[in-house]
Amino acid sequence: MAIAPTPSVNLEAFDRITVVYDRDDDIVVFHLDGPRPAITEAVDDSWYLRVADDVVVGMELHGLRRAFLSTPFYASLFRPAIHELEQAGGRALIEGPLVAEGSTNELPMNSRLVLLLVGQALAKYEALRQREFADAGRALLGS
Amino acid sequence: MSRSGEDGEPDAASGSPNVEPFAIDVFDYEGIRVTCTVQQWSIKIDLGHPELSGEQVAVAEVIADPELVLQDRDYPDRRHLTRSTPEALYLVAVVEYQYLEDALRGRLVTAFLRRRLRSDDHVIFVSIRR
Repeated sequence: MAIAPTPSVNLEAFDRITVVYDRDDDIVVFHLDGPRPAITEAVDDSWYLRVADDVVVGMELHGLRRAFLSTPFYASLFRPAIHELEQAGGRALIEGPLVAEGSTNELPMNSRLVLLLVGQALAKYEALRQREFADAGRALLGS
Repeated sequence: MSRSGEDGEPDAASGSPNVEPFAIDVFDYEGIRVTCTVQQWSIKIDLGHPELSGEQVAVAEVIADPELVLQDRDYPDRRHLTRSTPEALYLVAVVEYQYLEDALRGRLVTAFLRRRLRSDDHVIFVSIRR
């Protein structure tokens, strides 16, 4: 198991957001400050962080419609951002691939949403690591 | 085995010409045909995972000859075909399988690089050739 620090978020450099929704596979990817090469960290079922040089540069959710929009809590969180995404992308979510890119002022709902989701993802990541370290410790001690 | 980059060949199942060029067209480790069109590749990879732009052959090789196959944690019809890289990362191709016209077919859902596997990932295949 590779050891890596919990990634950080550079809020001062967060000026632009890119949102890519693949309708066929129900996957949404958020890029902070533009798409760039990154490593993917699975933090929970369907939750993935994109990390470059130990800084979060985006995140990916599998099952946007199936898992998130079918959950009342997440549906209410996502609704304003999806409306904004559909306006910016010029089509409805279910009509095909949707791509929107803009400043955090141009896409405020998506920007706020992604910060909330990244925070939640980092908490999940930290909890996952602590669980794995505890399991590894127990295995070493033979208990 | 890998036919990455070919286009326009007849669809084996329907016999009709497939007009969409393929970025990936390969048989997986169980002999199931897995495809990804150029248009899908541009959305999934060029826009979603630019670290794998231009890496169609590498992704096709993972699908054809994975070291590990993990069950998707949410979708029962998706598998994560995985191979380690020289950079000590894991190249993962997520493939969704479904019956289409009486044949089991696979479709590339996405592909990405992972730094680590989770201790509770559910392994369903391990290559014994390495």
